[in-house]
Amino acid sequence: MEKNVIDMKKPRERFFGWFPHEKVTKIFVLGNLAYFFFCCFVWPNLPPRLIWGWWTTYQWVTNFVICNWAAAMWGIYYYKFWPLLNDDIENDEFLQEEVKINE
Amino acid sequence: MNSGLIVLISVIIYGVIVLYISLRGRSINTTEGYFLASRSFGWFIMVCSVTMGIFSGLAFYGSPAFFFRSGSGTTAATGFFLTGLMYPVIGYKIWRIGKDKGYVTAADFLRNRYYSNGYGNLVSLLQLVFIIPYMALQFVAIGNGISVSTNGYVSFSFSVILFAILIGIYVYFGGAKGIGWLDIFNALIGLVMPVATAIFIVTTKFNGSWGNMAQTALTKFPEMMDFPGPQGLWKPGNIFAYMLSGNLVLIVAPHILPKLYMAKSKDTFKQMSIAGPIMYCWLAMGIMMLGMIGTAIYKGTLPDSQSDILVPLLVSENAPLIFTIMLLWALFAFATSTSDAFALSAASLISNDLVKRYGYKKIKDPVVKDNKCLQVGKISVLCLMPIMIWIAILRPAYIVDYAYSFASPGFAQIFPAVIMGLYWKRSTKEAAITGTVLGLITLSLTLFVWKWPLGIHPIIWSLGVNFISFWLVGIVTEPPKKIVEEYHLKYENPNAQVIGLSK
Repeated sequence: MEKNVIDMKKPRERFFGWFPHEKVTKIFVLGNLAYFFFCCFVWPNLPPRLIWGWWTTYQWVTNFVICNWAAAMWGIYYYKFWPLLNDDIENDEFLQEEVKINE
Repeated sequence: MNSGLIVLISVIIYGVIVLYISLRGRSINTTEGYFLASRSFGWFIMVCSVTMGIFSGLAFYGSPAFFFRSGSGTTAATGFFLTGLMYPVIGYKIWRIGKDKGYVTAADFLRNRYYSNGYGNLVSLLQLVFIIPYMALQFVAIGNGISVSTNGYVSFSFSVILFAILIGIYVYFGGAKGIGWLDIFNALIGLVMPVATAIFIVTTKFNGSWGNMAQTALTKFPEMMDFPGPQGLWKPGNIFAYMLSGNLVLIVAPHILPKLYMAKSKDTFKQMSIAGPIMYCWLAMGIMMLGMIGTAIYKGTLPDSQSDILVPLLVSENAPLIFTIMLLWALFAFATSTSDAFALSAASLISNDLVKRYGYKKIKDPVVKDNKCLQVGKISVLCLMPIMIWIAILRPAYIVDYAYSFASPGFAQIFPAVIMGLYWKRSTKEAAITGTVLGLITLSLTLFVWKWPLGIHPIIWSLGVNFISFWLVGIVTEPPKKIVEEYHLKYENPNAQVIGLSK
């Protein structure tokens, strides 16, 4: 969690406030960027082969490596680490309270 | 019996099933009930709905044709799985705020987050304008699909009119809930029928040898597995651009973003982050199979310029009538699921962003006003259909050639405002307006005037300008303290307080 006082004039907040503060989220963002670039560069450099005689390397890698790795990576992060999805506030009760207050 | 008549009967059977499913799942008659299915969808219905909304009828016919022209680099450029990343990053946060504040459309969030009616209206108007060509071309795909599959027995115009009547009726009566249930049915068709057809054609045409089929394709199209491909498209920068334009930024498209409000709970988004990428890649598999089989059979005889008819040609000339019907159902599945999402989105823009804000000002009772606005929205669905028929039949060049190619990267221009509005406390209305306007101008210039500067896709230029100008204006302007507290601290850090803002 962030500190209790947020100074919007501080350079960190002013220029790079969009970049996450939590260490684990920073690693996740950088990891994803690296993964995007890896994906873009890995496809052109894959050997142009037909796996099992017909499946192009690109389709095979998409189905069995890239997508599954992505699903696992994001699933683990969102289930275990992301503060927003794992905060202490029971979401529905919290929102219902908010709606009542707004009404 | 005449094969054209059989196909027509099958289309009518599909229509009856669609009406049955969508009417059984019909929505409650309130704005939130009709447009957002009372925010009640679990992960499976959400994944089917979002995936089928993105994967259009044009993509179903266009992707195998793209493979036929540009080789298997098409697979690399799909990037379907990336939306799995976005479900929680954008979806969860916007759902949480939207549920709290009763938002229905994308413009609702942007209007309030950027404390600007003008910006909200600009977004609504842009979305409404670009929904029309995108949706009309789904009607064109259906018209072509039916007329080619029946060898002209059912005319293009009749097919388009039939499709419009079907969409109009079930969106009017079914609402978001009916559409959601229908998306499950359509996703099952989209997963099974292309694969079944591919297996049948390989079994009969290539003696069941997939290796023989692939080698034939490679012999006829030696550049099939080359990078950057026969047209030089598959450079890393352009693969990234296609991933962005085709999928990542589509999460903010007008027919997709409102679907994110429909989720039931926060767990829905966690589950979607895993199920989404897997659903996407398996959905694409059958379609890519058809592309390779089409290449093996037609490369060298069918000109690249006519490759859009590859799928109907492939099935009508190489498989019995039942497979023509199956693929036609798949086309319907992809085209209806995109068109109905657009129709509902257009109706919610008219009802919520236009009529609710500027009409019925004398009605004080919110329930009565909500009901009146909903009726206008539902009627606007019916009014939209004749416009779609007119565009699909006349196909004016300025819509087909310009508006459509502008629409998809055009939708993406609110992506920086959405994601920065969710994660950057300093996001201001000046930044949002500057970013969106400059992004749209850059997109027009790089798409139509200086086409693809340095061989790089216009979406990279336009989003680059959009993000940079947003950031530059954001650091020299200040948001109101109330907005920072209401949209950031409340959800991220309720105990914190903000200092250093003058307003």
